Amino acid sequence: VAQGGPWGSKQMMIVAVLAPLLLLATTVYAAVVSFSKK
Amino acid sequence: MARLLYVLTGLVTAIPVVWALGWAVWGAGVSVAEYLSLLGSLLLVASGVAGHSRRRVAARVALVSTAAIWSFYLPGIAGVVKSVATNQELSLTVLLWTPSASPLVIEQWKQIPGAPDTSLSPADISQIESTGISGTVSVYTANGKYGKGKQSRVILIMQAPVSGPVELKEPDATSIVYLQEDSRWSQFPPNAPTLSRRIRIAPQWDDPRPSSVMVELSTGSAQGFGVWWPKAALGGRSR
Repeated sequence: VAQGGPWGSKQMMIVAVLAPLLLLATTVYAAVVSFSKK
Repeated sequence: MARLLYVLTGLVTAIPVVWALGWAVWGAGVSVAEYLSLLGSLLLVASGVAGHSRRRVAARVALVSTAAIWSFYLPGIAGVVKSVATNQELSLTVLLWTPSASPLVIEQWKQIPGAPDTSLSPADISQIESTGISGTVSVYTANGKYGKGKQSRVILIMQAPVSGPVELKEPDATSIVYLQEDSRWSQFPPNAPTLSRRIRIAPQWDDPRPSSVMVELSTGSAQGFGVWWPKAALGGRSR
């Protein structure tokens, strides 16, 4: 049975979980680099 | 490596926002946070693309960008956490009541093997009897499940379609019987703990027979069904 287009709910769920994790990692990294001594 | 992180995060965080904005085509509301987050994602990609020479400047732009993106993600995450933390499995039963002076009779469906369980438990029957009603109650629907988690039960005993919207508080991991008595509803037991979420019963605008029964879920959405009375049962009732 066809399951719609290439972006189904499963892919969207993966992105919805991945996005905040990446965002957290980026926030921490950017903060460390921004406020590092050198 | 940092540039890849910025670009990847910018792209991945933009996808749910674009998806959410896409619903605006169907009339869904849009928020400032969505646009702010999208702008943050674009800035983050830009800082990744252009940040090879000035590492610290790129990091500061990325930091501001992430703050903008969090304006969309933080309320969303808080909503999911609240929904999971306050979720419960509400079991809903609706009984139709024909009051009379004769002793209480509870009419149940014959259980069909393999079909969902629509039988009332001894605890249900005892709780119905504790309301002190007399006459006949018949099962309209039983043990409908809404949500997941700790168990709670509601038994609605209805006499007639409602003439206006009614809101009844959902129990907090306990059992409650709501009894329709003319225009008011009584709660049994009266001091049972309840949530702020509601079960909403409302008439249908174009037909006096059905009442819609909607259960508010922890996500803020609602699920439910219609309760119909046969014309004969309505008698001379008019709107």
